[in-house]
Amino acid sequence: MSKPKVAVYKFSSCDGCQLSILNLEDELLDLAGAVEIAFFLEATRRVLPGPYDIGLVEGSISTPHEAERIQEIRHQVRFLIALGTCATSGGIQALRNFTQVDDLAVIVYEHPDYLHVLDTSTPISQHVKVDLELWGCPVNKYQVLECVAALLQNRTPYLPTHSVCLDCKRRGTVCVMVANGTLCLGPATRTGCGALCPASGRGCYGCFGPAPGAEYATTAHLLQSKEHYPGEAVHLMRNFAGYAPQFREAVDALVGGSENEPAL
Amino acid sequence: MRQNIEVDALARVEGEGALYIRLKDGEINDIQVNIYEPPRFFEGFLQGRYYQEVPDITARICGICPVAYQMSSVQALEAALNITISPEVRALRRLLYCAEYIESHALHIYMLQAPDLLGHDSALSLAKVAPDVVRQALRLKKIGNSLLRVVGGRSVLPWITQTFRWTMSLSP
Repeated sequence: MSKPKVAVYKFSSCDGCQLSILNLEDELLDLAGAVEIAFFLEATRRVLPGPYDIGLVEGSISTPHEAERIQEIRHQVRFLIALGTCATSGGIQALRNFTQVDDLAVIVYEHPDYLHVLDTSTPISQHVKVDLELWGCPVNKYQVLECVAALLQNRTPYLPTHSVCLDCKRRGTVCVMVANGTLCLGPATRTGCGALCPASGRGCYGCFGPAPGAEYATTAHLLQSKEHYPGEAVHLMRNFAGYAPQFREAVDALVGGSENEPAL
Repeated sequence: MRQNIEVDALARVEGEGALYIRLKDGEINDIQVNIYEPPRFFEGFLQGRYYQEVPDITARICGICPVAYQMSSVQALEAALNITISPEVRALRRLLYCAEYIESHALHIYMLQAPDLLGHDSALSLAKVAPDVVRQALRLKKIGNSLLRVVGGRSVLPWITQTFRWTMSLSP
């Protein structure tokens, strides 16, 4: 039996999730032995013809060219995994979705008319069918490995979905919000990082996106009641995964059309 | 004689780009480099954000060298706010930066560059003929990542610790 072909693609992103794959230093050569790396420009210039069994897609869709390319890729890939918070929510560059992209372009570029961009940065699932979403900014490299291993073994990958709070309890980390009044998005954020930020005394900033089934609006109101400056709670939710519907709706409920909404 | 060399997607580079070389009579007539990495407008959406959020956000400019962007933004903010950091914090930052050098240079030299110089597609194909060299490279890369984790919490997009946070008295 031939080895399953794996393809890795990049869209609008920082390369960090692809790097997480290359950071599997102890497992990389075994992984490359277990599958056929058929398309992974960050790692190899060898390109094998499709179709591919597994496609790992990093990044969000933010240009007309990307919107076309993801359609082509979907036809090539049997099992498509959206890799990281850009691919699952639109990423940090989705902050443009809350304002006018033209207004941002003139701040950055002298000749914005050369740009070919979409008004919004959107998750892969808004364009094509996604078979599995892997959250994280960046993804946890062991979750990537678990997904590929599970597919090879024809089983469901084990990807916990509880909130960061549970990880703090397991680690024995004292709650930064209760003890220090530090704003923390942990109650609404998906596990995966190991509760790194609270363990170092700072609040979670939600880079693994919304935890399924969490109380987003309640968390948003709790955060707002503990703000150190007006708009802190909105900033916290409208960040790396800010365009995820759960965080978006929680912020909408919070600001409720009030005049105090920060610029972004 | 007219010839074109067209590389629509350059492999093993940090980012995305295409290269077009047009030859005429054996001489280079025209070269075009197309960096099609999409614009993400960091300078735009940073406006209006709270200053303590900035290093987290700028880290996401590049996942391969996030410390460089964290460090630049943190230094810009400190210059603007007239903050002097302690020698201990400076030393910790230097250590974090050196960790990134080790990881990123090992990645660049062995996994991105060396295959070109040695006529290979990738470090993975290189590993088939020189497994010890590639394993040594991966060990070196891992040392950089371990150091990044010790000082910065995680290897990719290290989260900001005391290395970048200012004293709470600065908060309004």
